[in-house]
Amino acid sequence: MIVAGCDVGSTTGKAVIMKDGAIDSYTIIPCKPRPEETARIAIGEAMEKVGISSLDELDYIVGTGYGRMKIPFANENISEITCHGVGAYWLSPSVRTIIDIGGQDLKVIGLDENGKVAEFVMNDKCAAGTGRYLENQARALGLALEELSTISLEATKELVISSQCSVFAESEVITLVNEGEGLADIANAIHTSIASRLLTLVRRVGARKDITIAGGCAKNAGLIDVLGKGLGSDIVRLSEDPQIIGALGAALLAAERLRKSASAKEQGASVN
Amino acid sequence: MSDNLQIHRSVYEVLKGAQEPGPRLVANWLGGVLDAVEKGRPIAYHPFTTFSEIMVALDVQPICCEAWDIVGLQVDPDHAIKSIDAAHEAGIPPELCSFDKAIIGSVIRGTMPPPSMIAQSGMPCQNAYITYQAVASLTGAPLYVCDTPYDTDEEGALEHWVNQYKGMISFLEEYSGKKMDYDRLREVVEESNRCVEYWLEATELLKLKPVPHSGPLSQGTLSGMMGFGTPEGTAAIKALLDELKDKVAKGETAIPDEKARVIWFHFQVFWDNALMSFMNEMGAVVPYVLFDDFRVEPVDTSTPEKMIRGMAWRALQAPMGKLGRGAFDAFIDDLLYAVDEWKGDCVILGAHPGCKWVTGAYGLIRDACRERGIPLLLYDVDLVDRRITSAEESRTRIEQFLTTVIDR
Repeated sequence: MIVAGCDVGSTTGKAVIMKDGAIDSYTIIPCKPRPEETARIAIGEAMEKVGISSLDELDYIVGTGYGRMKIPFANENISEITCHGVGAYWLSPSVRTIIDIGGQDLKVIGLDENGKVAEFVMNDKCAAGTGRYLENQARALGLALEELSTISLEATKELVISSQCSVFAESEVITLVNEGEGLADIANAIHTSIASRLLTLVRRVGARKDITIAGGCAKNAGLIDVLGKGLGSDIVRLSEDPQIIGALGAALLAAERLRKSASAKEQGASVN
Repeated sequence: MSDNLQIHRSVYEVLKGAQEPGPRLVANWLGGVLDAVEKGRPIAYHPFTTFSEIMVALDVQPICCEAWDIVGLQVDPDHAIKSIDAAHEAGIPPELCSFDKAIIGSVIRGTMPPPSMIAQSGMPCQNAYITYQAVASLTGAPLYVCDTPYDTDEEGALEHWVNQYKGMISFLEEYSGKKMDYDRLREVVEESNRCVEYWLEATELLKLKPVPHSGPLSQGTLSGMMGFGTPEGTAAIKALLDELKDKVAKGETAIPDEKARVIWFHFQVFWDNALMSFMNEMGAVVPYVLFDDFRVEPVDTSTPEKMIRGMAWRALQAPMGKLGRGAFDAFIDDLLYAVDEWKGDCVILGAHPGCKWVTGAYGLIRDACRERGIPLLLYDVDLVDRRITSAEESRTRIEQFLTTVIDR
């Protein structure tokens, strides 16, 4: 049984192919102007890695993410909240809270003991605290995103960025640069400001342990550091790339759909 | 010369020949208002939590201000936005409830006929207090605002409230120049009692699973706002009840396969009528909308005193009137009651930004639902201003939520 999950987000497209219950391959690509194109390239690259030449060889495909309605080859599309829950729970069944920091939104998802979504909160009304916000601040500091992530760990001074608005926060960053503050300290302040926003959302869904983090920003060591300090507990690191959790969940749901369909057919056959 | 009442006049022209009770009720109300404007008859403004029976009995033309703007919204989705902007330009703080800002703006723009007097029962919320003061200040119309008790169980609170209600009758008598005929009031209240009886019966039918109707009981809402105590108001809700009974008898349901029952614990989004259908397409039904929860008792009409006491008590129990005052416990209790009685699988609370009585208590609502294991979606959506959260954003949020509920 070969299934796939395709997650078309606001800044990246992800695809995961699973064969007989294990991850076979995955890809992460920057988004193209059209979601269909992103989806085709992402799934195409993932297929190529394992020598699959045609979509017909995939038994079931689930689309997810903001662009999920525009994935023409998907058999079904499922909300990214459900997919993130399924993906994270599969990798770590002790997870009860997932922080998903996407390119243009933030989500905190609470899971019950069975891995079902119990509740979620999200912020998709403004860019504050999202991947896009980090990109803007890195640019204001003249740093690459990866540099912003690591340099933050070298901070020695506590600075404050008080604005929650990404535009005003950028002004604050520029002011700090002009005042001669160190880049590491400013980077740390940027991460602290995001973390404070995230912590509010996390506490709103109950902050039940274990807590994990998904999405591209989960690779940001500086952010993880301040977030862990704010939570007062370690953040459980997932064994797979945190950016593919949504696509992984979609692939797992694809497998489940296929199983259910097969079981329904078997039952039908036995009745007849 | 431009006609500021053009929208409402056009609705009246379209509906005036209608035979169906719902449209006839709207036409009757609009026709009454337009006639009062033309002939200079007294007009009394009132919020939806101040029932119009006293005005009907005094033959003073009532305008439920929220209803006036809802009619405008059905014709022009920007009707409220224009009024809200006019209110902002006049210095009304943006933090005020947009429903109330729209009322003030409609007065400023002249799209709501000016009042001769304003009767305000002190409900449904703090926003309304300031709104009607602003309207009185803008129009020069005399204003009566009841002092609503915080806790009706407190000693003397109910007596105080009944006296406040009596004061409202005296106020309307004084400024309309008419004397209350209590036999006429009895007729009106007996009519509103019938309306309530049908309404309660209709909402009982929505407890059925699968439900025969999904979404707000619009005709019930209109009866309460536009024709409470009038034969047209009663006929509209009676027609709705008959329709529901007929559906139940035929085994008809709102949708073929009911996957989730949503308790919509606020008012519907008035600019987005298609939102309820969107949920239906997902397999979700809405058997409960807060506005339709009209659990009130019939008023004893045997004596004028008992009648006034009954009306006063009923006003305190009206949708939102009950929940917008006093401790927040009543809100939580009603929410959980609604989940139990209407067999809800989840709660959606789309509270608009100015609705401080609800948004201020999000944490309490969340805790109560969490304790009972009820999935809850709290999301910002303005009931009359589509600029705050677009229809698309609204659907995205609801779809994500309902997917998780149905998946459970």
